Amino acid sequence: MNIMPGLDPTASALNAEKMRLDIIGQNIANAHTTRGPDGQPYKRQSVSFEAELMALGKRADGSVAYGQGVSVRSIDQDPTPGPLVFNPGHPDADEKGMVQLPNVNLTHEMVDLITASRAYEANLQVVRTAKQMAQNALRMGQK
Amino acid sequence: MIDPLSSGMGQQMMSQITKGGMGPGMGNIGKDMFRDIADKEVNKLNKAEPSAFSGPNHVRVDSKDGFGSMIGDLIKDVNEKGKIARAETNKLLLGETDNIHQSMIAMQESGLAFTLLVEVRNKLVQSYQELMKMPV
Repeated sequence: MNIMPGLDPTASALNAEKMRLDIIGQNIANAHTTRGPDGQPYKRQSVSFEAELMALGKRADGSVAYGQGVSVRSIDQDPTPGPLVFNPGHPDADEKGMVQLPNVNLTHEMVDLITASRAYEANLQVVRTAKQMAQNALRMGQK
Repeated sequence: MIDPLSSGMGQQMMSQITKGGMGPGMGNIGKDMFRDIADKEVNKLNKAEPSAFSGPNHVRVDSKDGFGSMIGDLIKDVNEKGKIARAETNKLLLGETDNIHQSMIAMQESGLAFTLLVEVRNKLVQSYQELMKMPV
């Protein structure tokens, strides 16, 4: 029994947007990491979503209704090289004195952050509205 | 939901009363007929329990789609939803997942299922009271 109908795609979207937010947070945190566990400077990561078929329930004629949810297909690394800065005193400077910083652009990350958080709120609003619709239907029985 | 006048019981009663015709002896015959029909309906509600008013010729009706089974199924569903909600919240509190919205959605669903159960019970009690108000 599914009282709030059609919420499986919404729940999957909430999961996906939350993961996107986690990755953005990781990017911002590592914006100045010049040496990672592999010795390379941090490379910006991004998530890509893909559609996922989920069963929504049975239709009136008995066939299963399929909806389209969201799932995180992969977490990709951005291969573009970051800016090179002249800093010969830095422990990670190469023989020319240049240090390669991560290719994280804080402005872009902030815009992505706002987008992800608005998408999360939009999905939450869907859940809230579905709950209110169900509650209104239940209130039909009261005087 | 049950509507006494349009349910099988009301129609049976009306057809039996009109068949027997209106006469001075109608009173007792009407009461026996009413008792038999009431037995059938009460058995539907009580599932397999024998009713206190069983007469010599009362019929036990299979309650597969009666109200007793409906309430039983609803209670089972509400229980299931409550278990799911508790499991999700436990997972969140133990740190196995950080999806707080899953447990919130599960809790909302279980609350709504419980409200539905209460509404069904209210409707049932209302229709029972309507039935009892009918003059014999």
